[in-house]
Amino acid sequence: MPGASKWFTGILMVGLVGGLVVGCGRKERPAEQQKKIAVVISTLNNPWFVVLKDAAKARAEELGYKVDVFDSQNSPVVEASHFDTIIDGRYAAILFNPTDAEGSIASVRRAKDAGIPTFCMDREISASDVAVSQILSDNFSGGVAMGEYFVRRLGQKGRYVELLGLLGDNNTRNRSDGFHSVVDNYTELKMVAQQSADFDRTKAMEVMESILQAHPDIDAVFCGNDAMAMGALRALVAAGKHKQVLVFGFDGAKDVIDEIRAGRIAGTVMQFPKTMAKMAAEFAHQYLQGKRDFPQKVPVAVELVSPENIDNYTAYGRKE
Amino acid sequence: MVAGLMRLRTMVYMMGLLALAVVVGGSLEFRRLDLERARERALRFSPAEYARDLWDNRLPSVLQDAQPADQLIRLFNKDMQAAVTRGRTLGYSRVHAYLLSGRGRIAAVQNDGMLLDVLQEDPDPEVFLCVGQYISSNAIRDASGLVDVSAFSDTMKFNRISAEINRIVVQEVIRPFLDRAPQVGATVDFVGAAEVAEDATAKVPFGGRQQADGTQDSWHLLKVVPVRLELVSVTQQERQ
Repeated sequence: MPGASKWFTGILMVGLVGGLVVGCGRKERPAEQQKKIAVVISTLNNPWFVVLKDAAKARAEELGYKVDVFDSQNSPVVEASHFDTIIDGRYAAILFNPTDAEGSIASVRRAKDAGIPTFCMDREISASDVAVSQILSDNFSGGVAMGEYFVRRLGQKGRYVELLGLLGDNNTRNRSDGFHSVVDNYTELKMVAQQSADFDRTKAMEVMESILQAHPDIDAVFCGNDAMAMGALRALVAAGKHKQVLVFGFDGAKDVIDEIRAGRIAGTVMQFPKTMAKMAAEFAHQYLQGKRDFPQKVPVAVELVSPENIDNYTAYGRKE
Repeated sequence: MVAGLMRLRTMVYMMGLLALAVVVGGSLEFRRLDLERARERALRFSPAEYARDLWDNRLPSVLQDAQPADQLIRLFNKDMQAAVTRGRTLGYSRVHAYLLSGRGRIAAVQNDGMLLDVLQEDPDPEVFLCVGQYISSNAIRDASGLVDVSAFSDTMKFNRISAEINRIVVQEVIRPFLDRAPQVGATVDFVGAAEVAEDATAKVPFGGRQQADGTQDSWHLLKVVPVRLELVSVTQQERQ
């Protein structure tokens, strides 16, 4: 019996040690709490992100989850506090639209350490080992397509302005880099101003008004999203220049699709927020059912929208 | 007494092991080796060096698998869905990339490219060979299947690879080719990459003209970014 007792003690201790080691890696959660999904969106002050949010929420609810939405108001600080709430609230998964490619990494890492998987939508974080998967618009290709169209519409020459989005967002760089990879090859196309308007409609209008004071004779403006295109258009209308300045956007938002039909905006690049949001929700569901093999980055193709093919599109997507 | 001592000694050993596990468990972090190596590569990432390595050391082996351009064009014109399965698709997209090789006769020379007539049975050109002063395409990167977007911490690095590959194409393929002053009527052997959008192909076949309204101005051309180009001399053609 003493021998049996010794073995029992040994097994008990090894089990205890093993449990502690495993416990260092992750926290177990009661099964009944694995039904809440958090949808964290960079800003809901832009209709495009509202569509992204609505699609993610709807698909997650269809899959049987309770969904709570968090608006980060374009602030990494607000976003980080949302992650605190989400971690404390023991959510099962996060469908995440980050505010900052670098600044959002720490929040995702904290969620991962707490055992909560994160699935990025539309915007990426500059890390490949913290989110389970990142479903992203192929913004560089969109910028290239827009650049080729821009060159064609301007006849390879002219003076133009570029309004950039949030400088900390990789989408801003990818769109601009793709655009310039084409446009910069044409020496008679001169960029007279390049300024950030933070993807914001009101700010874009103010920036455009200011630029028009210094450069009243421009031929075109390329905006890194549709909200800024609408702001720029408003400034041009106020200055009476909207008939001589071509405006180009990026997103496929409803008001810009309407303006392309009306002939006041020259084109945009259609992203597919509903596709990305649905895919993220479905990935999260598959993860919670045990699947672990996900591609880290899933680029989602974008498509150029112009007056030539506007009939194929509706707001935020293709016509079914 | 002895058994009691043995038990006590076991307990002490186990407690020691427990303390060690707590200390070691708290100070060690386990990471996947492949992800760590990818992270190291990312930290010292140079798009130019990456593209050069791809071009010199990795691309040649996959070029052997390039599909015959004439067969691919015929397949697209006959059965787009079957042709789609023979390409590579980046992420979620209706655009598919192909490595292809073939021979064509130069039907026209434009500023940024040449029209090649590849199908013998069709008098119209089917291929637009990109030989301009710049290339903006992901065709080679994506058709090669050698570059995995998930291996990069951010997509900007992934996209810069295409820009560098395209720079090599212009400097080392297109310029030497143009130096030989290719003319309309000459024959070209090419190996390259193309991207094809499903929708475009569904509407108008490669090389075909739109017949519905009787006009002859709406052609559909397979846009090929060259990796290798060679002018075929008359002697070579006769020999073959």
